[in-house]
Amino acid sequence: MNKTVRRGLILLAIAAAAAGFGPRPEAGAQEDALRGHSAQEEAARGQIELEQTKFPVRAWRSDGSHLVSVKGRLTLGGQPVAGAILEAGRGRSGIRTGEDGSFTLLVDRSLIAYTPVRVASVREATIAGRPLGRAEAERLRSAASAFSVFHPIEVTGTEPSETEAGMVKVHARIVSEAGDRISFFRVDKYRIAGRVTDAGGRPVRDAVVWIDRDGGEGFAKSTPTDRDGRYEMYYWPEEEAANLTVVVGPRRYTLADGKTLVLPRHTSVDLRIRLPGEGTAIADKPPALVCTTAKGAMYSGLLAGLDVPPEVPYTVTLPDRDGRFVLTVPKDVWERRPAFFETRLTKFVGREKVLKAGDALPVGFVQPGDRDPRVTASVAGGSGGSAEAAGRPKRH
Amino acid sequence: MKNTHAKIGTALALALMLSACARNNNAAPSPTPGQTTAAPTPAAGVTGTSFDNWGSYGYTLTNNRHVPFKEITADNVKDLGVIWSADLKTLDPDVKNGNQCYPVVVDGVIYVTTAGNQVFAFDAVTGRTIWHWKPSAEQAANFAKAGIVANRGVAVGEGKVFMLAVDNSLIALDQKTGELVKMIKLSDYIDGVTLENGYYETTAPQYYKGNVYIGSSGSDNGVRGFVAAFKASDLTPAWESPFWTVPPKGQDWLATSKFQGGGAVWNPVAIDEETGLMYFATGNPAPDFYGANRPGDNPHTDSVVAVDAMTGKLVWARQEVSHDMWDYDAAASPMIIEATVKGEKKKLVVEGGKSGLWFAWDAATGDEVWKGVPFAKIDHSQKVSGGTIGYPGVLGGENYAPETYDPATNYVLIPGIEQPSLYKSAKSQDEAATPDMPGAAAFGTSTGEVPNAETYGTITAIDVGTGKQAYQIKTKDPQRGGLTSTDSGLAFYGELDGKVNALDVKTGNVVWTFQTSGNNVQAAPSIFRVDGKEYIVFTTGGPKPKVHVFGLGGDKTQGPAGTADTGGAHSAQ
Repeated sequence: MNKTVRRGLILLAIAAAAAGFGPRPEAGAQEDALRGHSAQEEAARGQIELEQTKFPVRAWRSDGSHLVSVKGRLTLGGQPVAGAILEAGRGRSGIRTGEDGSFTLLVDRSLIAYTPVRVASVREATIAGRPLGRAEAERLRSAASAFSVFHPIEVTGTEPSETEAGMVKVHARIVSEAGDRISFFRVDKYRIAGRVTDAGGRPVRDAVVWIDRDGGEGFAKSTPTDRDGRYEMYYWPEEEAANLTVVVGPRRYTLADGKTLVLPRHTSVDLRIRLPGEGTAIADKPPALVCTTAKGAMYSGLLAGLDVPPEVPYTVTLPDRDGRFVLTVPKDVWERRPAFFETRLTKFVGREKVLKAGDALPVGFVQPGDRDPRVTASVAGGSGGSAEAAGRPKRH
Repeated sequence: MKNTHAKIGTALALALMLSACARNNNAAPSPTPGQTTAAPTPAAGVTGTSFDNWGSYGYTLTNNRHVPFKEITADNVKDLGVIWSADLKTLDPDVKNGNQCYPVVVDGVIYVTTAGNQVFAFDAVTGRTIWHWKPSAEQAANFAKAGIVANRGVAVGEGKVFMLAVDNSLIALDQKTGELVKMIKLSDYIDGVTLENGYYETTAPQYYKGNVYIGSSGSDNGVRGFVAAFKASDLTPAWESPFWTVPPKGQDWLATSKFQGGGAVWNPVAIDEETGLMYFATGNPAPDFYGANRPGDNPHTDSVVAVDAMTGKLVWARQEVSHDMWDYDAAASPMIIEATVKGEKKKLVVEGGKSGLWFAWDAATGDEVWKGVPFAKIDHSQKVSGGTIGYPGVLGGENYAPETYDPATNYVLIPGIEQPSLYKSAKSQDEAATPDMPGAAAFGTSTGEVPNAETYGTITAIDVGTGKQAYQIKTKDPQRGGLTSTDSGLAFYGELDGKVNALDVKTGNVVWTFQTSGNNVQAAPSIFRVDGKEYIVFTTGGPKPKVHVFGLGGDKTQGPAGTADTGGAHSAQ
């Protein structure tokens, strides 16, 4: 960009700020992208307009009605751009703009996501039939938009924390359509992990531990042991007899005398295995085999959190079946009305006690990712924010 | 090995530059079977100048497995012998046990994949290895995470060879040199498709109109089934979204389920090049044997689905088994056939499931033409302590082994399995959620073997005109490979003891049998021609996987008797 143009834009930006337009400092980057650019910036820039950018989740239907076609238009300085290729997230083919700059893209409303839309190629782009100049191409390439699929969130009440000074408890709810169920963050699997050592107690590397049910089909296989002999696997225990096998290269070790292992239900375990010096039979007692219960489990599902910097100390609870959850957050942070975010997370939580709905997650447990939608909560029964819930983009 | 191929590649390039004007490589459409390439400039060293290709998994994209060749007949079939064979582990000791590869033959080159995802390009007539590709040791070390390491073959198009590796990568190799052109992780484009989540790949991709089409395995691990399309040019997505066969966990009929829904598409798709419709068969809902938390029909599981090949948009779907409790996948690829039904010519899509039932639908509309024609014993009435004895068992019915259609007789030949299973139902979802982890099989609850049960195979001929069985023959072992038929009225198939056979399609009489030096034929043969001579290529598995090419006048020395290795119930997935 040459100096003259840059100076011009700086002046425009100053003018824009003075006139009260332009992005609000406290709003997040996602909000900017969704809102579009100011009138002055429109003249200079490429613009991707979408007829709708906010989509409340609609649960999957086998007839495909959770998929919705959204129309959009690509312009530069208000003029339609044909033949450009847009990119909307990684999982789809490029979208070509038509003669009038228009395009359609398919939005899958069944899964939450924040999806940026950008210009991937201007090689064959034209305005009024003529190809673009270099400066025009640059400006067009900077066009950006985004769309968001999310569950609306409503805040149902706030109160000062009884136990922590300076904190407030915010009661909120992840909203879904009547009859739709959401899979919230819950225990999904338990862990069998441990070490495999040789007869001398030294770690064995690249061993695979197998557990298969004695009474039929079904087996679990671990990651190959690392240099410390450590392995892990995730499963759902049955409290019934299982065969144990350890495979190291061409050798298969199994429990001696056709013995089986009974793994307890509803808990992770630490299973330490010492392979025999001779033969392939693992004795089913210490020191060859030591099995103790271990804490923690793998959890999976939908969670909400606050879109705040990682150092802000707030806690959030696991949502209950109706999507209700509670945040405990510093009062001054809450007063700035931060946005929420939603994410689908699969993560091991190393707590003794199994976490259920209403239990608080540790501070800093979940951080928003680039593709997690940010959600401005509405106040239950109150005014404001309804534009978000209805999915209409705010325009200035 | 890679360096040697690079040198050969350069030499080839120089040699071909001179003849470049005579042939425009990039404009060549996907190889058409039956097209005799008149005067191509074959890669230096490929034997032959005219070729009738076996261009894709099922011969053409309709997956009929029927060739218009007449050289080998019932009268001269006893003169078939081995022209050449290759022991894959001798070529590379890292080749794993077993083989389910359906060879693809293009312009004098046979493309074979191995368990463990190596790819060999052999001169079709001499068996010379033209090139060989294998994954890096680092990548191969990861394969142990998947339960199964089989692979059913490649797709060839636009000068490239495409394969899915078991670790959910899609690989494009240069067709002439075998050099890696591009490899992508499916999870970069399709959410969650990783070994850790229970996904793995054994299927062969299909190439059509600039796109590569794939499904996946993992229904038994409770994955979310899908079909996706990638651009052959750069392996970026070709559709706006993958086609998911089932809802995401927690929605629709999975609202109260701990699991993803299954419905995986683990065998290659069929495509009608005239209409642009793509058809595929889907696997069981998850968990297999416990259905209380997946109420209703569980649509699109155990089904045949039709979508638009260029957009992935749903056109129709028909279910073979509703709310399946027996692991009765529609496993094998559907076939698109032009058949005579009650005197009228119709275009049909047909498929036989693990359920032991065969279906035919109108290709355009999905209207039922023949519904649930039985080809296996079907019985769930025997209750014993511990559960129910079910016919068919968890292997089926018809497993992934594909059928063939013979236009002369208007028969579809179905490879079948007769082997019951003991189904033990879980009493709760917790009980149904059995060992489930990276690449393992979570079957919901248990099935066991039925002690002393008679186990064998069948080949059933269904007359498409009447929807009735024309005959059914018994074979010693379950049919795990599938059949391929010819215009001379023969159908070729292999068996688990390493024998290969030909039967007379009209009568069902076995007219030829040959003991190969291999074991476990778990794929059907591909039949092709070079300079007008007809060849049949089989792969065999077991501990010494091999490739065998037969032709008239070949070596008739039989191998030692082989042993059937049926493997675990889901080892073929």
